Amino acid sequence: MSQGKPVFSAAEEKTLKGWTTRFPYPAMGLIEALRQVQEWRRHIGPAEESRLAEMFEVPLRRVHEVATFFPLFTQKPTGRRRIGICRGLSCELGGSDKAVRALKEKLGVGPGETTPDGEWSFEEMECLGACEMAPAAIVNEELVGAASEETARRIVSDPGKDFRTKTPVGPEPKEHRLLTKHFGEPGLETLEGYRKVGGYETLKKAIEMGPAKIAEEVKKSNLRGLGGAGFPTGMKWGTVPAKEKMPGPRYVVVNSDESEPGCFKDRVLIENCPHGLIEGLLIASLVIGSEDSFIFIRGEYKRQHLILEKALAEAEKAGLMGRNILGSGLSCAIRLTRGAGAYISGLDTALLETMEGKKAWPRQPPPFPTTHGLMNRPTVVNNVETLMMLPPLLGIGGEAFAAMGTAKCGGTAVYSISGHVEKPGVYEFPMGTPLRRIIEAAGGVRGGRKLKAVIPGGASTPVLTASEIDVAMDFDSLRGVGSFLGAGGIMVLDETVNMALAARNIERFLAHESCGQCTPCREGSEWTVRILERILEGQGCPEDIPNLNRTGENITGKVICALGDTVGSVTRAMMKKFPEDFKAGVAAANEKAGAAA
Amino acid sequence: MSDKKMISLTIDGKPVSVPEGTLVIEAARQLGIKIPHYCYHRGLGNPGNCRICACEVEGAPKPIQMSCRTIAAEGMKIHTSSPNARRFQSSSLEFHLDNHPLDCPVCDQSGECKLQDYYMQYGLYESAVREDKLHKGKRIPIGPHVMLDQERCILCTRCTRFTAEVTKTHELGVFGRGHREVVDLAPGRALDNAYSGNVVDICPVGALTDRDFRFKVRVWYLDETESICPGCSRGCSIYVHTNTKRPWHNEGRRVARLKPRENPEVNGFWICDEGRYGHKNLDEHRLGRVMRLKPRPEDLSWSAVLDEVAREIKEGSAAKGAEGLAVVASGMLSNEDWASFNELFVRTLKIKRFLFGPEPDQIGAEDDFLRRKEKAPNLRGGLELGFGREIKSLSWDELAKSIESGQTWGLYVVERDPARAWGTARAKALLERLDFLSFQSPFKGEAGDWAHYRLPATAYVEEEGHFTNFEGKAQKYSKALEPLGLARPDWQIFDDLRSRFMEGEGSSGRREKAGALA
Repeated sequence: MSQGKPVFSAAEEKTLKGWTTRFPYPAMGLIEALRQVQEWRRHIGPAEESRLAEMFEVPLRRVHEVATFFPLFTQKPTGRRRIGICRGLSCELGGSDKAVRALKEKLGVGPGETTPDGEWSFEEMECLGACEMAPAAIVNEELVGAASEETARRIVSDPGKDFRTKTPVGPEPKEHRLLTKHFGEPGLETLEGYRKVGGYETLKKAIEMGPAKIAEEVKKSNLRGLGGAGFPTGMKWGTVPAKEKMPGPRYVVVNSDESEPGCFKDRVLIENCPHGLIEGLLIASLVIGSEDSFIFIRGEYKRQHLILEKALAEAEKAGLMGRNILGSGLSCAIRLTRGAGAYISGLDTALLETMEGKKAWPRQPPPFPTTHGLMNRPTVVNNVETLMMLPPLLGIGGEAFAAMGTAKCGGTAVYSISGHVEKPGVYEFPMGTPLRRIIEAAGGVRGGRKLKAVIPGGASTPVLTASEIDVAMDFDSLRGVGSFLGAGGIMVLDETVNMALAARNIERFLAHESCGQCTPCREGSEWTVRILERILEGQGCPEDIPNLNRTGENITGKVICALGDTVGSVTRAMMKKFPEDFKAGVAAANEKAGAAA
Repeated sequence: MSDKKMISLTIDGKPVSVPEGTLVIEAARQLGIKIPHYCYHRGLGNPGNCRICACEVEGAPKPIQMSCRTIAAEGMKIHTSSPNARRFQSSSLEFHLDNHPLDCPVCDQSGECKLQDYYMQYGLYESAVREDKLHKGKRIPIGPHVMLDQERCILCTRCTRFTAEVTKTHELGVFGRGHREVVDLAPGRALDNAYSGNVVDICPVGALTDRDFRFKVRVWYLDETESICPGCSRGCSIYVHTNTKRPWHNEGRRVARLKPRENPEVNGFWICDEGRYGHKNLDEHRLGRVMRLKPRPEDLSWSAVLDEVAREIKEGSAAKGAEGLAVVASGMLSNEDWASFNELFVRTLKIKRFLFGPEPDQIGAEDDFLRRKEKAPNLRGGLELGFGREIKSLSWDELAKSIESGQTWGLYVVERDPARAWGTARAKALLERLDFLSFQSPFKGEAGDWAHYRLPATAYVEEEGHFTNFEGKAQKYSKALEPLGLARPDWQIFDDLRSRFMEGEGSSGRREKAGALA
């Protein structure tokens, strides 16, 4: 590659080289560098990959694996602008097909194509984390708003404009709201505004308390991981080996890769209160002893990335992070790092692989990240909401926090509600609140229609019927009814929804996001989609339903990570609870066959 | 050997004791229990992504475990063919096959394919796939030796791990994501490292096939013989796969391919491409007739030719001096050959001048993995007898000068072609000055045409013997094929010739030799 014209200009080289030194390990900057190249060249070609491989001292093979794994990167040039319409379940229910049609008319090209003048590339995208604006639209990684047919056209005519709607945060009154208590107060997103409501006071208190006492409070609080797994936070922290036992660096990483259809609360939390996350992260870093902490944020949260960047600069300037925090002698740097469009990056071990500049293939524990995480160092990966709970938790004390929730799930949870409700948005409720109440808070089913089903925790969690919505929303109660609290992405489906269509939508998402590592998930997810598509086209055959059940069982619990587990369980739950929607597709085929005979 | 703690467990009711840290799949292997597996390979680790090597761990909270990811623990009770384990294995196989093209009749892997084998053992279900198969790349030549078929690939990642971890050359990767992903070359690369052929061996299916071997012979017609690669002084363990049942296949060549044979002390699981494809000329330019070429060409019997050779040596030595006879040999000799060689030339004929060292004609590329620069398997076998110690090797230059000066009147060449060292013209000029040239070899070479006597020797696949590798390890190779024509092992020719110089001793017949000298 050394002969001929250099691949990058001197200025570009300098920018890219900058990424080799930004993080503790050079390769951690690879994905950022690839993002940069994608932006400049609108694709990543072999020459660029080769040069990056040299700069980051990794094999070309690895650069190409990353560049072909993450959808943000393309091997062929995209248009100058990339417009994407979300096809997640809430967005499909919200009319994403209409937006796609309107855009197709307006641009003259369909999804997956680029206008002949090279101005626009048009993509159908997996969940953009804006289900409340369904159907969501994105331009160059920036959420631009709800794409009604009209708006979809206007986005193209007026590309700089922001068409976002304001996301409701509830419920009112705020008496049971802990984390979102001050949301809506002016300037909360600034350091000044945050300090006005007592921000960073808990950090001071925490420094005085010291790691052991904080850890004790968190244990007492029954705080569970709110990213989906529900693992007790205090217990997770407790598995990090003591510094004396395992000297050397250890890390805290914020998982802000929220990408599951139905979930958008982390986005709203960051938009409203970035300093809340920084304070929570500093407290966790103090407990773990991390002097290098990271916020890993999904690539499509461009605006939220900027918000955090700004907040981090403010915090650093105010001596709240970096060296010698508040004069305590403690240090903690916080750096932002981004994904590039893969849902699987939200799984802790896949997230660590992504951060290390590799494709996001989950690791197979043991060992677990708390002993062998980022670059094999002890690493705690916690969700945005979990960490943001820390300042209010320590504010009221562990016992009071625990008392707010159920026996085993302390405090509150922040729910994303979307689909067929009047006021889709973000709602905070104590653990154990009945699902019915949360739906009511969001205004109930839209248009006075009848409720058909609810997906309680995000697209990957098994569906509940209308008769099951008195279930208490907490990790243990939902398990009791065969589902999961997940990350609290509640999707409400009214009587008009064909569950076979909902199943196809979610399975298509999972098949698109399957990392391809384990055979049952890689092959089974795609197979499931194709069977469901046949059923939806009225081409089902009687064996399809037992086959879907059988293959589903053969995937769930038989693969390395949780994504594969959900591939098998989503459709099975829907078929079990709404068999008529699936049988219809089979019956239609039988009728056709009968007519032909 | 190891002071590791031993762990006792039972697998399918059979007790077994293994060192701490042993994987269940290995403990089972020790009992002769085979658990199906694709991604796991002892030389390449256990990513656990193919999900087929399921076993049931009695009493465990999650009883079904991957046997390649489960470490044997004291008192464990493992079941590898319980209904649950079998069901898991079979369901995983179904996913491996659901997009597989099932083109076995035209697939070169047929007969040694793990999809076929496991289907017969663990599958035997009726296909539930009604969908069209996904299409990916077919017949992609990815390097000089390897052909890739992405549709047959089950993405076990053995090949990509081989190029990433063993050769560290990183030509291959898994690109894309999910069901769209493929094994392919990194942009602008070719699979052209010195060990590329190994990916064909480790590929459990027909995704990577050998461009040399493809479509030559169906594997079920092949016979397998344990052997040692003669390509360099490493002495890698190999299998010789021979085709004698369908002689009209494989372009008439009897050796169809060489495969590495596991040997943890020498070559692990691998061999280099140089060794792997070194068999191609085994049936070409072979000597099969026993001949006198000069002064009057004539086919002779072994007995007659050895009488003549012995007479020429005796008469020449008497007239021109024994020191004018030189012998060219090399590390191509087996230990058995070396022993007889030594008896004949050193102890009986008292020859002083030998050329046997790895002069430039037997020097090649080496690396820090397997390949050694001495491209002869058994220099070390001669060393044990003093060749390279008390007996120094001449250089080709020294030998040439001694011929030019008339100091050397006779030459006995064994398994080596002087033309390769001197070049055709010079070799011809030099050798034609000689009064006596005996040329003993499996191959005619160029110099074979200029010899007075041409004695056909067996190739290593036609005899059994031992090579001692550079580390001093004596290793046996077995006879895979019958000799061509009248060819005989070198040691037998030496012994028979020596008997011509022994008063009162008859021609020795075939006798067993202590091969494992080292």
